[in-house]
Parts: sequence; structure tokens; C-alpha cells
Amino acid sequence: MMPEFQIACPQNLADAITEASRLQGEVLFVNGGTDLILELRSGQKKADWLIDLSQVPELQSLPTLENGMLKLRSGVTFTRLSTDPLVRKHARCLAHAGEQMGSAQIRNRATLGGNIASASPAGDSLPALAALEAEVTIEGSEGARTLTVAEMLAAKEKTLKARELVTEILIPLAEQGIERRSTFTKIGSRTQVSIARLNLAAVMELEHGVIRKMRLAVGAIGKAPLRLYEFEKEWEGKAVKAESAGKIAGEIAGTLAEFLTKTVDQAIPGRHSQAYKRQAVQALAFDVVAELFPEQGLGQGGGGNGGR
Amino acid sequence: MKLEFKVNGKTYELDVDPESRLLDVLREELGLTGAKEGCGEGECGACTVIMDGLAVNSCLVLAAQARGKEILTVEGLAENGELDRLQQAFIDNGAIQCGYCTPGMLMSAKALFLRNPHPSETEIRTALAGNLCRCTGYVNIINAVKDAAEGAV
Amino acid sequence: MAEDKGVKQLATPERQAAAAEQTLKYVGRNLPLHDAVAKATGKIQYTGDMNFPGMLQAKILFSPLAHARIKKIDASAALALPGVAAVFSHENTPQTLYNSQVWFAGQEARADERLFHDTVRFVGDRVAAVVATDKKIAAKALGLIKVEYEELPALFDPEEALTENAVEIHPGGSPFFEKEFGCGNPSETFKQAELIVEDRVETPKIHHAAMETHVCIAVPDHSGKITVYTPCQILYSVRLVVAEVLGLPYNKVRILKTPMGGSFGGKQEVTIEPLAAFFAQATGKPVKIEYNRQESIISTRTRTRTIGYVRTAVDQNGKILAREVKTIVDTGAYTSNGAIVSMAMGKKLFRLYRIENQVYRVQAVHTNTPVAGAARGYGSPQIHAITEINLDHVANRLGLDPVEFRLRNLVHPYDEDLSGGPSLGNARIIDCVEEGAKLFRWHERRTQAEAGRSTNGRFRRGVGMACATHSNGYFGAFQDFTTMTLRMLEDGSMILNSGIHELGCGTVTTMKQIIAEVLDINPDRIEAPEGDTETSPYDVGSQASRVTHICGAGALKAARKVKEIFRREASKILGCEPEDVVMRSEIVWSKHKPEEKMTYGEMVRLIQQKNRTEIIATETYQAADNPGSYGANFVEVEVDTLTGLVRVIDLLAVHDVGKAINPGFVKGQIYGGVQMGIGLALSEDLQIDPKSGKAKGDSFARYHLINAPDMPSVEVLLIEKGGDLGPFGAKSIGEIATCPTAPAVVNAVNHALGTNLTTLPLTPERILAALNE
Ligand SMILES: Cc1cc2nc3c(=O)[nH]c(=O)nc-3n(C[C@H](O)[C@H](O)[C@H](O)COP(=O)(O)OP(=O)(O)OC[C@H]3O[C@@H](n4cnc5c(N)ncnc54)[C@H](O)[C@@H]3O)c2cc1C
Ligand code: FES
Ligand code: FES
Repeated sequence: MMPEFQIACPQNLADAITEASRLQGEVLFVNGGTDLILELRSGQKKADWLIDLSQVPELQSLPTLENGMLKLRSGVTFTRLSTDPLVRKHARCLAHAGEQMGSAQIRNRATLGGNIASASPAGDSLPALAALEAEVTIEGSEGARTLTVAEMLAAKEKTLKARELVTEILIPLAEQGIERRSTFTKIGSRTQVSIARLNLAAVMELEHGVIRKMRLAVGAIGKAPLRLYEFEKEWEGKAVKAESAGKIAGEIAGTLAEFLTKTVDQAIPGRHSQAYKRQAVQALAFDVVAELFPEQGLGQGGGGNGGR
Repeated sequence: MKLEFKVNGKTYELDVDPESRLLDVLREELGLTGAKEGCGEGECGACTVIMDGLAVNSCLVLAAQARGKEILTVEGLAENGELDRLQQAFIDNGAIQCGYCTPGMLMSAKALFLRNPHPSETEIRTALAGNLCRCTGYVNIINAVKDAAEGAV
Repeated sequence: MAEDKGVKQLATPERQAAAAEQTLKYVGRNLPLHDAVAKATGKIQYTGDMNFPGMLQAKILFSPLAHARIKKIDASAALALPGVAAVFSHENTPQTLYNSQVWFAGQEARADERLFHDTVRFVGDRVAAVVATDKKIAAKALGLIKVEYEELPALFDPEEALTENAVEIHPGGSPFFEKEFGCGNPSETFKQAELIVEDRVETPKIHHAAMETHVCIAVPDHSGKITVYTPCQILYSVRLVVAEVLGLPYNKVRILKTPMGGSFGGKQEVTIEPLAAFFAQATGKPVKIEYNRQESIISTRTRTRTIGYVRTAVDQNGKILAREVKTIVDTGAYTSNGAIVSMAMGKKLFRLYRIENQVYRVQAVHTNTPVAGAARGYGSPQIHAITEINLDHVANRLGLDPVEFRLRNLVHPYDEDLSGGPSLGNARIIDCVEEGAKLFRWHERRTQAEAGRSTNGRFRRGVGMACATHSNGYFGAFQDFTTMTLRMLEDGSMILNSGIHELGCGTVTTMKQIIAEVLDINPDRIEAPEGDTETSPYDVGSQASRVTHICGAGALKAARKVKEIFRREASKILGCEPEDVVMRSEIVWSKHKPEEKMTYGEMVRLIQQKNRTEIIATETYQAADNPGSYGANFVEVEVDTLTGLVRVIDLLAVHDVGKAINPGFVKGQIYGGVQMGIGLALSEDLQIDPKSGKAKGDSFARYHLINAPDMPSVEVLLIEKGGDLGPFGAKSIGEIATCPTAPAVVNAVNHALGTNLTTLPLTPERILAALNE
């Protein structure tokens, strides 16, 4: 049963921001509602006012490329993320997260902004955004500011203040002449429609067969996704020549698997789920690397698990 | 609060509670009880309707968020008394047992067809992943959607 | 062997009818569900879709504690809320004790439930209720009720319930039921056995997960009668309990079966009906109770959690010499069917394999957890999980192929039940296994899976199978009969009045097909309304896998009687002998005057005008057999050894159903049963927290059913050899459909990994833990 509240339906972004500061009492934004409606019904959250963002045109417009950035509006749905050609090209891991998130019905409503604002430890967009080194624009009555997703999620204090909203997500593009490969994968308790028990996003940039950049983030073992800085450094600058690519990829997968196990051990020592996650996380390593080096045919012979 | 929207081709102007969900309005205000509440948390898909061409869980959409939208429910699937080919295929393939999941299944399948009239089996399974059925094991539901896609009925 | 002995002894008309199979016109055909169009268009009205003028809504306050005495309930704030009609608790409701699963008057069962207790015994037990003008107000008022509890020590582990000084949940403590029965001399045999293989197998508490949650409406009238609209499985059970609790004569309680949005045993017992009925009586208004998903999961019924200890003794040739099975059946906080299900599961042990020395011991216990009750298979999925997993373990130890091992021990047609139960009838499990193994390419696929293992590190394939048996009604245990009235109307259409319940399985259409076959009438011209205790003759209900076998035989008997009456009356009109009256495709004539034809309807009119009578028959069919239904599942799985996730690749289900009246319906049952069985094997579990007693799996977000992407392709093979007393030889399928699946999947996983996993469900954690051992 839903508690009582009022709802404001602003026509544009400016109105949304004004309403947010003007309205009295507990004010919350709602977009897809796929988190918030449940939280309101269960009593986890209370509101006097909801501000509906789902029809604010500025937040719903399509992804664009601007100033070397892929610019996403916070109202972009997971369905859109999974199909949008720009996202698929420049931020494939985010498109993969879009595909593997929820069900068709959820993806049609759930938004990237909502996923970021909810900041659930298992949020599927979050490792992808962390690995892409994305930035978020936050706007409120005091103006706008931009910070990286990592900063935003890692902060002890809640960086997204009440009545502030996420408006844009900016993803830096690969530089000219650099090939970006990226992917995302997760483990749930079902092939589809399952909150991640573990998820991992990887971005690799190559220039003439040399790894220029390696960015990985693993989710669901802490409050926010963990970047694998040490591991990334180890592989940057390594050559991936066509003849030896298979061997290198195998090595990457092997060391990544071990590294991830170590990361899990450090992140959740003594936790009930540690025993499971420290081993299962290795699957993510192999799956992600197989997708980063598609030509190597590194799939491990399984029928795979559909969308995973 | 005022809500103006279109349901199954008809425009409605209603006065609804702000905390009403689309599902509540369809069932209680419009008497369209085809959509069911199997969980109220986006997991079962029994409440699935099509909003502006996309399948949504009507238990997770606030009624106010449907303003200006076009909703299609199971009651609007048959046109001029003639069953939609999906409905016919469900009947012919034994895809219906208790029938409680059926409206939601039909709407998810319909939404799939709107985007992709000739889906593969994997695409069908993915489109129906958010619709639970306890009776049929999905086998005949998937067969029915395949059948309808092939225009076999 | 004794193969065909039984057939010769019992050449009844039913068996001859089954033999004349090739001439069948409606039986054996895939007619659609009678209400499929209404369901496909959203027009069908389920109980939740129904409203009555002035109807109130009730919401229940559930206990947040596992075991506590209610010291005080303060409902004043709730009562003061405008729109609240009443608040009920143990303080102002009848304290009649009842048992929610009794289905016939005079049935003995431990009565330990009340509408509301002064002591709550599990998280989800009923504390109080608000009845209000709408749900919103009712929910708000619930929040205003103040309850003071005195917490009591609680007990969650069924084995702990058997220890000394265990928490006493009901007077006398646990076990509240104990039984031992068997055959031969197992203890002596064990002493001499060459190989004994022991296992401890555990099955979880699971949720039936009908998509429709629990719901009912009670409507009072001026005469003091209460009418209850409910999607139930046993009308007469609901009447019994409601009348008892409300202190009303049976004829002042009317139960109407409404369209069923799924049950699987979950709506078999009487849970919310007496509450709604009492609220309606007390307020004088119609009252609806509709549970949400969480409430249905924790506060209605579950499958029993069952722990089984099994020991099997075999000789070197793979002959089972003796077996000892001990189960601990956890029925939760109230008794419900705890005793009966404990017995039901034990009986199956004597009906699948020829085991001359066998003993079954059961102890049923209470715990402070959600109440268990009927659940598709009524103990069969539990007991078959216990024994079939163990049998694979035995085969493994013997180095024998599991199919071969089973074939050496399976029962043969017309074997006797060595524990004294009814004859097994034309038990065709050997056919199931032999033909299934062939069709599945069992040996080839098993070898392939084993060969693939060395080269294939991460993903491992396994091939497994399991067998099961289930009953066909209550014959041999309880009274089982049905009464039906069949009429032919003046336009030749027909009405069957009976106490049947359509659960979505096709019962109504099945009855129509049987009648249509006898009278050669289009099934669409027959109405077979569902039960209404005011107008329907008595029926035992949709339980015990009895409907097609018993009610179907009842419909057959009534149709034959109507045919006899029709021909007798028509012969007077046609001036011939009854045997000379020909009835074909709704046209009737005398074989001496084939040129003088008329429709059935025209004839009924003439019979009314000239013979002053109508075409009607009321017949009672008394069950006289209870053969076994049999099934075998063959399955291949792939296990990801890194994640512990299991993919079920494909499954073959072979079932001995005697005769499929409607093969489409039969297959539908099997597909659904397989989905449920895979869930039991791999993912479904209420997961009671051992500290708080709260169910972790109390929502579909945390209680995962198998969904479309994870459902394997399923092939079905039906063995139809008739031979028993069901209509046209038909036997049950609804429950047996789910029985072999879970152990088959577990056996396949154990084959893939070389493990001996025995605690269900095989979660990824359990699989990895076993691999790391
Ligand atoms: C069945 C089901 C399955 C799911 N599966 C997944 C899954 O696989 N992976 C996953 O990551 N998540 C999953 N989720 C969770 C949820 O769908 C996502 O977190 C989603 O991205 C939330 O977006 P929304 O637009 O629906 O947010 P809402 O529910 O509208 O809002 C969520 C929160 O964010 C705030 N908010 C929303 N938009 C903004 C904004 N622009 N600025 C500031 N604050 C804002 C709201 O106030 C609220 O607190 C699932 C949910 C359900 C019900
Ligand atoms: S009721 Fe909406 S998804 Fe279950
Ligand atoms: S037909 Fe009953 S839930 Fe799908």
C-alpha cells in the first residue's frame, strides 16, 4: 500500500529545479520509478512531494557526441542504452549493462539517472560508468557541478544532496586512432532478471597493438564499484601482437582471475558471501577477457548462459 | 489530480489520487481488470501493459506518469471482436492454463512484435523473462509466440 | 512373469472401452480449455476482480516475531480512523480450534488453529485484522494497532525439535505424529548385505507460487447465510471449516468456486475463508480478503521441509535387498496435514521398486516457521528426492548404470503393494524407463558427457534420470466417491452438475470430452459448471490426483446412464427396442427406420410431451482402485564450475498415464510440473533465517522461480496402456508431473561433478562448496 504524497509534474528542467527548492517537506524525484515506488510502498522512503522527471524533455533527449564526450541525459532508459548506436560504439560496456539489467519491462522504464542516484552496491550501470571514467552533472538551485562517478560513489557523505538532480552523464571518447573495446558481465542467481551478485566492466584501449589503457571495475562487493588500479597498471603498455594475442589474453584472464579473488578477499573478509564470491568472480574475469579478445575464441566451451 | 490519457484508443480524463499506480487506475477506475497484480514489485509481469509502444509493469508506473500517454491493455488487443493473432495462437497452442499470467504474457509478446515481428526463440524468451508463469513451464507460450510470429494462425 | 494376469481377471466394461480406442471421437483429442477465450481477452473475472455493493476490505496484521505471547492489543487509534468498520483479534473472535485441511465431516485431525491466537507461533502468524471501507484505510489502520508481545524462545530446526528440552510449540511438543510401517525383515537383511549406501537428503520449504495470490470474498444475506466466493480446491472442506468456526448449519454456508488463478495445493487448505466469513457475519457486509505476494508466501501454506535418512542394501547384481527410510517432516507452526502427508510420502516407497524388506519411519514436528500443507505431489516430490538421489549413489557405488540398476528393481504391472496398499494396477514404469532411455539416447549421451569432461575444464555436462510414482485418488486410505447429475435439455444441449473444480488443468473440458464420447455430442454443447455447495452433489475435491481418474469415471457413468435412459425413452417414441435406437452426432433414429431421423433436442421435446419425463441421471461413482501413475525424467545439465550455476539443457518426461483424455492438457501439466521441479532442485527455498525465523525468500525478488530464459526444452512421451478403472483407462498426471524432476536434475548435476549433493536446492554456493571439498 502506498503512503500519501503529492506529485509535481514539471514541463522542463528549469521548472523541475525550481519546484525542487520551492516545495515544502520531504521532496523526492521519480523517473522510472522502478526503485522508488517499491521503497515508498515498503516504507523505506517517505515523501510529501514527488517530482516526476519522466516527462522532462531535457532529461529524455537522445545521446549525443559533444566536445569529445558521449553525452547521456539522466532519463535515458536501459532499453535505450542497450540499443543506441552511439552507446554501443563508444561505451559498449554500458550497452551490455543495459541489456543484462532487469527485464524488458524494467529496462523500458528504469533510467541511468535513477540507477546512479539509487547507487545500489549491485547497480549494473555503475561498474561500467566507473570503468569508462564517466562524469556526472548534478544540478540544483545553487547551480550545476560536475564530478566523476567514482568520486560521487566513493564519497563518505552522500554527494547527491536532497533536491539535487543528476542531469547528464558524460563519457570521454577514445582519442583519435585509438581502438576502444569494452564489455560488461554479471553473475546473478538466474540468467535474466536477477540483481547482480557480482558484476564487472572492462574498458581496454589499443593503439597499434599496444594496450594504452586498461580500466576495470567490479561491483557488488562494496558500497561502490572497485576499480582495479594495480591490475590496470600492470598491463598498460603491453603489446598485443596478433600472433601472441591469444597467449596474452590467456595471461590477462589468468592474472585477472587471481587479482579479483584477492580483491574480493580484501573487500568482504569474513562475510558470509566471501567463500562464494571469491571463486565465482573468476568467471567474470574469463568472460570479460574472452569478449575483449573476440578473435581469440576464448570462450570456455560452455553453452553459456544466454545474456550473461 | 487530473489525468488525461488514452487507453485502448479511448481518451479519458480522470481524477486520480497522486499515489495511485497505473495498475490501480486501470483496474479500479476503468474496470479493466485484465492486468493483474501478482507481486506489486516488477518481478512477475502479470500487470504488464503497453505504454507508448513499450511493455511496462503497470505496478511500477505512477498513474500521473501516464499523462498524455497511450496505453494498450489486453482488453484492447482484439479489434472489432476479432482476436489478435497472438490471442488465437495462445488458445490454439494450449498456452493458457489458469490464465492469470496470460494478459501480461500477451502484452509482452505484443510489445516484442511491435519492435520485432519475426523474433528468434532467444529473443522471445528474453522478451518474456519478466513474466512468470507457474502453470505452463512457458513451453506452449513460447510455441504460441513463435506460431504467431510465423503467421501460422 | 505375472504380466497380464490382472487384465484377464478384470475384463470390465471400462477396460473393453479402453481397448476400443481407435474408434474414439472426442477422447484423446486436444480440445482447447473451455474458458481459453475469456482468459485470452482478459474478460474472465477472478475473485480479485469481483466487487459487491457495500463490500469492505480486510487487511491482516501479521506477527513480526517467531514466537510470542500477545500481552496487549490496543486498537483504539485504528478504530477511531474514519472508514474502519471493525478490528478483530483473539479478543473478539471465536476461539474454536480447527484443522485447516479436513475435507470430510468426522475426519480426525489435530485441531490447533484459530482465527486469531493469543500466542503467535511464526513470523507471519495472524495477530489482528482491520475491516474497512477500502484497502488504503485498512492498511493505514493496521499501522495504528499497538501490540505488546512477550517473546518466547523459538525453534526453527526440525531436528532440534526432536531433542530433549526443545521449545514446546504446542502441548506435548514434537514429534506430534510418529509412525512406522513396512514389509519383510529389513533389519535382518541389512546384517547380511554386501553393500549398504546411506544418505541424508533434505528438501526445502517452498512456495506454491500461483500467480494469483490468496483471495476470497464472503457475502452475508438477510437469512444469516454466508456465501463465500473462493478459488479453492475442495468446496466441501471450505464449507466444513467455515460452518464449524462460525457455528452455522452446513446449509447456511454456501461455497462457490471462482476461477482459479493457480493453486498447486496452495489453495487446497482453508486459510482465509473462515476469516472473511466471520468478518462478513460480524459486520453484516460483504468482505474481501486479498493477500499480497509476501503474505501469500509466508502466511498461507508451503511444501513441508523434509529431512530424509535413507539406507539401501543391495547385492552385487544390483538387486535391492532392503531399504530403511526415516523422515523428519517439518510442518511448521501448525499441524495442518502434517500427519497425512507424512504417511502419504511413506506409501510411495512401496510402489516403485520391488523391495521385499523395507521399513519407513516418520516423525512429524512443529517449528516456528510458516505452515506447511498440501503441495503438488503431497509428499511425493520430497520422498522421491530422498530415494532417487540415494539410488544414483547406490548405482555409482556398484558401478552400474542408473537406468540398468533401476530396471533390475522396478515394479511390474499388477504387482502388489507389499505394505498392504491397493494393487499397483497396470504399472508401466518399466516401459517409461526403457522407451525413455531409447528416445533420450541415454547411454550415448551419458558416455559423451563423461568423455567431454577431461577436455572441458570450466563447464561440465551431466546426464541424469529419476523415476516416481503417485496415486489416483483416495481408495485404500479414505472414502472416495463422487456424485454427478447429467441432464439433456430440450435443444439437445447438456448440463453436468457436479462438485468439480477447474484449476486451469482442463477438468471441465475433460469431463465434457468423456460425456461427448459416450453420447456422441459436440463437447461445446455441454455445460459443466464448477462446484457450488448449494447446487452441486458432493465431491471429495480437486486433490489426491483423483479428478480425472475418479470424477472422470463418474462422468462416464452418468453419461452411460443418460444414454440408457435416452434410448429407453426414445424407443417408446420410435416404436423399437432400446438397443435399436441409434445415436450419432446428435441425431437419433431407429435402426429399422433410418429415414426417420431427428435431433437429440427434438427427441427430448417429444419425450417430455409424450412420455412426461426428462432425460436426467444422478449417479454416484465409488472408487474401486488406486493404481499408480508413473513417470521418469531424463535430463542433461551443464554446470559452470566457477559460478556454480546450472543450466538445464533439455529434459525428456515419460509418463504412464493410462490414457490421455486430452493429450494437450496432459503435456501442459508435465511442462508446468517440470518448471516446478527444476525450481525445487536448483533455486526455490523460503530460506528461514535461523536466528529470527524470518523468510528471506519472501518476495519474488528473493524467491526465484525458473523464468523463460532458464526453462529448458521439454519433450514428452506418453505411455498409454490403459488397464485400470479410470475413464477409458485414464490415470492422473497433475501431481506426478513434478515428482521425478528434482531428483533427475540433482542426479545429473552429481553426474557432471562427481559429487553427492543431497541438500536441495543445489544453490551455486552449495555446488561450489561441494566442488571445493
Ligand atoms: C524487477 C526489478 C529488476 C531490477 N533489476 C536490476 C538490475 O538487474 N540491475 C540494476 O542495476 N538495477 C535493477 N533494478 C533496480 C532499478 O530498476 C534501477 O536501479 C533503475 O536504474 C532505477 O531507475 P529509475 O529511473 O526507475 O529510478 P527511480 O525509481 O525513479 O528513482 C530511484 C532513486 O533515484 C532518484 N532519482 C531518480 N532520477 C534521479 C535524477 N535524475 N536525479 C537525482 N535523483 C534521481 C529517486 O529519487 C530515487 O531515490 C531492478 C528493479 C526491479 C524492480
Ligand atoms: S504485479 Fe507488476 S510485476 Fe508483478
Ligand atoms: S497459466 Fe497459470 S500462471 Fe501462467
